[in-house]
Amino acid sequence: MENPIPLQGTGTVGGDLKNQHDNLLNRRRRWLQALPNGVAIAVMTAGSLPLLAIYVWMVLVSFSDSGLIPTKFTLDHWSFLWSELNIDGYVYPSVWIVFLNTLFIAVGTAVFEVAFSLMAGYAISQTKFPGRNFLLQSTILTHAFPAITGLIAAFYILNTTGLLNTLTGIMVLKVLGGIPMSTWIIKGFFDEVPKELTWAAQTDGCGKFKIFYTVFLPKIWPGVTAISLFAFLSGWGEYVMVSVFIFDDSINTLSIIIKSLFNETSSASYGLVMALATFYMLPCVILYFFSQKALSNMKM
Amino acid sequence: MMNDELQEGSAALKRPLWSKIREQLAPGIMLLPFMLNQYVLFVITAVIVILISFTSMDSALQWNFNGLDNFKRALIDPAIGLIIWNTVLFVCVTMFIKVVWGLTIALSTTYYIRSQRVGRLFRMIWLLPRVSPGVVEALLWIWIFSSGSNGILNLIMHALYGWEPVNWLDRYPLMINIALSGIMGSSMSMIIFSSAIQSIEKSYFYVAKVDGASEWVILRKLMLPFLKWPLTFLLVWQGLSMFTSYESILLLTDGGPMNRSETWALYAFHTAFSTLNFGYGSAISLFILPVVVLAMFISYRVFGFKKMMKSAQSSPQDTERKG
Amino acid sequence: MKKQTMLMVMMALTIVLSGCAKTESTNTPASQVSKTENPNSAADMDKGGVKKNVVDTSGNGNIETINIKVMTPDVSAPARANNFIEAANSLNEKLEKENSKQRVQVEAIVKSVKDDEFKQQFIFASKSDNANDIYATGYSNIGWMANGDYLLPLTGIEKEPVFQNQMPGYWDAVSWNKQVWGVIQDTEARPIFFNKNVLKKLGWTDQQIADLPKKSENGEFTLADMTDLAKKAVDSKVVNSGLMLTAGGKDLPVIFFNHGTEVYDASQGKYVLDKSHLKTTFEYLNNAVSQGMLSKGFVSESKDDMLKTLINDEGLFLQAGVWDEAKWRTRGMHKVTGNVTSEYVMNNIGAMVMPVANKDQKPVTVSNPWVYVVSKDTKYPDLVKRLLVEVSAPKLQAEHGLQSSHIPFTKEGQQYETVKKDPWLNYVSYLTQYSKFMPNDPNEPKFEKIMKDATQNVVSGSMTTDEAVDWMGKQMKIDLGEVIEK
Repeated sequence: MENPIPLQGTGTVGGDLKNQHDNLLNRRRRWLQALPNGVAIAVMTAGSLPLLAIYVWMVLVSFSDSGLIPTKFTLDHWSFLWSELNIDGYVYPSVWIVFLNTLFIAVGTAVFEVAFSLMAGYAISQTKFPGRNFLLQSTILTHAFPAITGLIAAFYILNTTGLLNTLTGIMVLKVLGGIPMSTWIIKGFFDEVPKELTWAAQTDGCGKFKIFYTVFLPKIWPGVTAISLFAFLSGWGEYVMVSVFIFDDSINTLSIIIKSLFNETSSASYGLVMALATFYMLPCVILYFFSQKALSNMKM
Repeated sequence: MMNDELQEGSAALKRPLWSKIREQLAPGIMLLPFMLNQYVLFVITAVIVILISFTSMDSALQWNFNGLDNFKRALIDPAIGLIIWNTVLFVCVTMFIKVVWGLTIALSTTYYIRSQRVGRLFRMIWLLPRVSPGVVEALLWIWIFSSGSNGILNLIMHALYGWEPVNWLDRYPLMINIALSGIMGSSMSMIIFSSAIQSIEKSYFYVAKVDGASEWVILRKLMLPFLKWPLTFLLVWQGLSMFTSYESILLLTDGGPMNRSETWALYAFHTAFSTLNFGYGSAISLFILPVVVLAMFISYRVFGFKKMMKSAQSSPQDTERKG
Repeated sequence: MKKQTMLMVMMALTIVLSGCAKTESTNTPASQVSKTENPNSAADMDKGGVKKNVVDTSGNGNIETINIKVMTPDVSAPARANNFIEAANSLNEKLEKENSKQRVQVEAIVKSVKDDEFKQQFIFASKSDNANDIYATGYSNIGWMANGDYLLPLTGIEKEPVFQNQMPGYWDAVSWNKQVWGVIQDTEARPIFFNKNVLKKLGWTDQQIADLPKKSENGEFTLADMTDLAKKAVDSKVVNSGLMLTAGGKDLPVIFFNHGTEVYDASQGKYVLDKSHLKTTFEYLNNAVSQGMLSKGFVSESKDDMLKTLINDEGLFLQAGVWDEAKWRTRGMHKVTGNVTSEYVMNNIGAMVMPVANKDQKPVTVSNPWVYVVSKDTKYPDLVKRLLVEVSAPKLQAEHGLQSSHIPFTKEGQQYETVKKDPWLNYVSYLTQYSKFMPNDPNEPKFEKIMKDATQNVVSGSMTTDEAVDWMGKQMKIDLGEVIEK
């Protein structure tokens, strides 16, 4: 960018005037160029601050010893991490068992969903077989099939297979529901891998698995990370299915416990509720920090 | 593309039969779980629901077939009018907010804001809603909009303007639901738009700048064309999920008061699982199917969906190169 | 490689967690309650939990412990489940005397579950052989539960001595299709509470206030009088809320019954669309709302907020349940003192039947007695029945009554020493003689919802009274099948 260096003594009076005029123009142009930057930052700040404030508020209340407006710092509300979790007198022996239950659904969903979609995505993208297009299009149909519709049938399916009232049942439902979308995403990443690379690896005498590791995995890694994260989140946050299909009072997930705190009579301690909510969100946030880069590379 | 197929084909011809079978077997096995999901479990689910929709199944969970009664009943149900209107509003306005706000964030953080670090920071903040579990989100909003003098919004409004407590969720149930799912849901559209913008070759911008194109022209002629496919994807895929989703409303206002925030999918859920009218609930949920098929057909026609199916991921420049 | 390690870690985690999934049912928090302890401590109000009685197996090696699960979804009256601890102890004593090898261990589950969720869980649990043995629930669920073949018929249990002096008419509440499907657990009534301090501010004397319940009962003080008084209190700015009506499924019908509305024809088993009376009730409500003494959003307002308003002298009349007195005692609703004593309630709050709409009519209140029902799948029907007999003992009825301000359902229970001494129960128990029941037809929950929706539409102004009656007719035909029009 041309930096207008003030020319001194060399020009005439008229030249000086012209320079001044140029200066003004330049300044205005620069200002005009900086404008989108400034406006964008202003808009984003105005939009993001309230959102951020809500989450910060949540964390602050969990560490504060009085009501909804954070004041004095205390760790009391977090004591459920090392002693019992007592919600309105209902004592859960340890929050970690509830945590493990939730983790089981989330990790199970992520692992199986990613494994199945990786296999399917690879097959659809890298091999030719009749009905391939139809297969791909049918994913949209299954995706659009209303979840509520499936929910009624799911009761019968779970009941026949004996998976009703188990965490495994919930996990299976989550995996089945997530496969179409994940396959769709991961297939796109496989498509991006240049054929030349595969051929080169083949002529080098690499086996199938080696090709997968050396050629495909680095290319599709962002996709794998993204769908793992999404699958984990959907399993971790599941509420409806757990509330409908698990009726054993002893099987709890974090979503169920937090939902039970919604009603007014039990808003005994805002701090405890917020601490629980923060605790519930924490694994998601940690995972999200690890997968951030991959997310920004994600394309549809 | 054609070339690849030919080469593979001729290579396959030369190889012995068993290896050909083996070649087809591996993808077959790999596709097995996916196919099982798509063609067996999905079909079973669909058949069960369709069968239930022809029964008067209620709290007794018994299969008493009653023909078309449930479907006829949906046509005269006095609640349906309001629910259709709510659903249309919910889907359209929410999608609009998602697209506009998602695009605003994406453009601001990837293009207009010069500092990459600042841009990334804002994107990070806007991914928070995507990673917070639904119940946590609902809990936060319920406390913010809570009707009593303990509601955060009421506290703020009282401190600033001396307002009397307002029962927000009772007064503006649908509006709050729409605004929240729109704004909190723009994470996904932001991800998609941002990566699309980032994948535009930098040299295009350079050329445009040298040619003296204004910011407006760059936005309209350079960036927006690249966003056509992501936009289509969002409208079709996300739009359909909006149409069938109900969890956020269920947690926040539960469709109330007086069905004022009830949408079609939520009504199906309530009918089946709250009033325990499984037959009627299934029938209602099945009304969504024609809409889905219609949406697919239209997107086929309007957006040339088939072309996009070929490579779900290809951005315009890829298609150009391949074409 | 980093990626591979991560994949491996995830796989390993899944396998480890699959192990956890099998042991998932170990996280039941259960506290053991010994024979001498009272399982119904005052601190238990509004709290969930699981309790078990201690089974003494010492001294006899081959004693079989029978596990029986009892569940109540209402944490505001935990004794409904906790009473079974003492019942199990007394049953075990009897079993010991009979030289039986069996001993009962009760698992009493008190858990706050919303009505919809309770029904859903009950159905799915029953259908998948996961049901608890005994459930405490409102009597009106008996219709659909029996109809769906979820329950064990208990016919014959009414001959047990403990039930001989049960209040008349209450077997009807648990009967459906010529069988008895449950035993009554308690009873109550829904009076109009009034705030004595507010009345004083309006110029009432102590004597007038003391006479009010009697006058309301014999029809001297009518609904119109009450409405006028509420209006006066609001207009003169003594209170913000003149009249508060709660809109629970069994609360809202009181005002309809009071206007003479018929809802059900028991002889034909069909619902009634009583157009003229529905209309007068809607008009009354509409009037009350437009004149500002009844809140426009009363149908969706929380009862706890209303109770707070009344105990803090900010409201005049409140229609609520006799058991809500316990909430003033336990939920910290008073702005200054938090919890208040029964004595404080008696001094500041009065209760009366809802004043009649027409002078020549008898007052009405609606009762929603809770009942115990038994799952069809219980493995020990005989022991469960004996347990139900034990838990109906006057002493346990009294304990539940005192803890949560409910009224015992047998004469022995009502005349139990502690009940007779309790001023509140003494003050309100006469109300039950005016009790009416909503039908326990399988469609009762649907009807409740229709009535509530129609009312909400009228008071919010989205329907006129005529439109609301028409709408009710349409919706009733859709949801309830054939309807008798009047």
